[in-house]
Amino acid sequence: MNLELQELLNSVEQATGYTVSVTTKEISTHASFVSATPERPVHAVFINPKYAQWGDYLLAMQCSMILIKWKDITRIPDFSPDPQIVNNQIRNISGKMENIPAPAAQKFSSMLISGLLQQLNSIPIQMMAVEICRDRCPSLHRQQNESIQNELREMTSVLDKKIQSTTPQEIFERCVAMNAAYSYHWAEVSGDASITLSYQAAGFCAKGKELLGAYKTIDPKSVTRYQETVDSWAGYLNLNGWYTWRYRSNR
Amino acid sequence: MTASPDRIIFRFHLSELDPSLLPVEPSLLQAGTSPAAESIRNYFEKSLGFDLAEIHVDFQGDHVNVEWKPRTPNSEKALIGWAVDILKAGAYKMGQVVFSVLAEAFPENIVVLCNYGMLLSDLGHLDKAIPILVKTTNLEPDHANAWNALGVAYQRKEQDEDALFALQKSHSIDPENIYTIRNLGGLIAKKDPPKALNLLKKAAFLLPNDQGAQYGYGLCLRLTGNLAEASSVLHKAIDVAPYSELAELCRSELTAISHEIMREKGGGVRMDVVMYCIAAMERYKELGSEKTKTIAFEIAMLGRSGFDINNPSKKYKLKSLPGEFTGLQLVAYMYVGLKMVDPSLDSGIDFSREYEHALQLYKTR
Repeated sequence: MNLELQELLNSVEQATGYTVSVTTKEISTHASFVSATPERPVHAVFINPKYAQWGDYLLAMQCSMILIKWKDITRIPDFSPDPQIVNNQIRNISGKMENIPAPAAQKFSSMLISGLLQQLNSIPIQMMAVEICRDRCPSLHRQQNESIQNELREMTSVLDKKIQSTTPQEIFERCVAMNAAYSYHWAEVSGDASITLSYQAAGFCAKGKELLGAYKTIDPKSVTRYQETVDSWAGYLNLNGWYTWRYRSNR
Repeated sequence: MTASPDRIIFRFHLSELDPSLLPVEPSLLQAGTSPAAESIRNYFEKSLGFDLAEIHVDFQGDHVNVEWKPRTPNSEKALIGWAVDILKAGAYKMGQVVFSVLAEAFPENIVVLCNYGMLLSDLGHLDKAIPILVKTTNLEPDHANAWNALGVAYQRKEQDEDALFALQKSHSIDPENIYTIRNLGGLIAKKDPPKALNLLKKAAFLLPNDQGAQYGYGLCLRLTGNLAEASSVLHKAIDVAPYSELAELCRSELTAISHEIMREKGGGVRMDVVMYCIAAMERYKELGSEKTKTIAFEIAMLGRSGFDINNPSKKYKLKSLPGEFTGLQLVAYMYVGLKMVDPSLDSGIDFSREYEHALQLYKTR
């Protein structure tokens, strides 16, 4: 195994007290993880075999995210959407979809809302993890470049006119703003600004930069940088109250 | 669509142009905005134009037409070289458009036909691919790569007899063609593993970073009873790409091999496993069902990277249970734990005889 990745895996075990187990599994994302608990005493990382060529990097990212979440083992955060507000939003959005039958509109709205919240929860921590991997795993830079460029290409497919015309504006703009922030962040980390062209062309430059600016104002050493960024973005995107933080202790 | 050696027009939908070849983003391609148009024009002019050919790029809605007119006798070769490079870059959608036109313009060009046939075969269009590859082998009967590609296409179509003929033909023309060796070995191994062993060994040696070649050889070694070497080759195969679907198959094979080695060592019912099962039953009874689930889960997850069940000197530790354990002991604990949680769960190893024995002994205590 790649030595830097092994060191990262060791860091997770040292910091959290639990080892990491890796499983190849077809999932909807590139990779994911489930944090260990006393009842399930292993961090379970899942890697999508479709992206196997960047597997080491994806594993390094998941390890970095575990380290971020477990920075204070007495307060491990869990992002928890507020069911009442989410249901209200689903009703609100689906009510505007006049040309779609109600059950389909409900289902589509539910998918959009959960996707939006998933992005709010995941993009800030991904940006932090990207920085950790850049710093701690230089030998994975090539994999990181390829994997993120591929991910950003997948993300820009959202800008397709068909998707834009079928997605309610308030959801579309928030999603794209977060994607743009991720794109601008990667442009800064990698030095390759070409990846931001599509957001410039589509007019999402300002909002993306605004979110990236908010991310940067938070002290990188702060133990709660992840939660603070999510909260700050929620403020910018008018998503306050759509979720709560739940904390658990590993002591 | 115009296609003759003197004038070719490629017509691409913007989404068919591979962004990795162009310095623009996919959304810009879809939007058809001017930076995208400029990038696309530059790309074709730089790749195909200058002294070699006259190039005209014309945008029509969400399509782009690229007209090519040769300027020198070398133009055709350069054009075909560019087309092959597109395939090498993995831009299959774009390659499909390009090669369908080239096959029309140069209907007897072997490079064009062979690449087009392989592309269609890779894309699963076997009914189109096979006639093109047959035509290629008719035009050039000593083209080992074309025979190999035809063999692969037949194999994908599950026409194993035709595949065997084509691959053997390729092998007879070029006995050192490593891809033919690998493909022929894989095909023969389906029916006669011992006969395929030497071919697959050679393929694995010559293609150390080809996971398929390593897996094929490892599997064949297992089927021919060389379990220790099979295990070593399959571990090597996993290292090539640890997170691929093929790596998962290698892991399953390794579990099966460990099991076979254990059975070879211990004959019928393994009494050491029976004793581990009884110890697990006693331990779980003390600890209760929730803790049992936790332990079984932890062992199952840690076992993802493989326990060495045939090495009693190697010890493992758990977070959920104090002490040090051998691999065999842990797998027995997992087996019993999973049986207690849900008897239908598959632990990946068959300790059913030992478990039944243990259960009877445990009840009589």
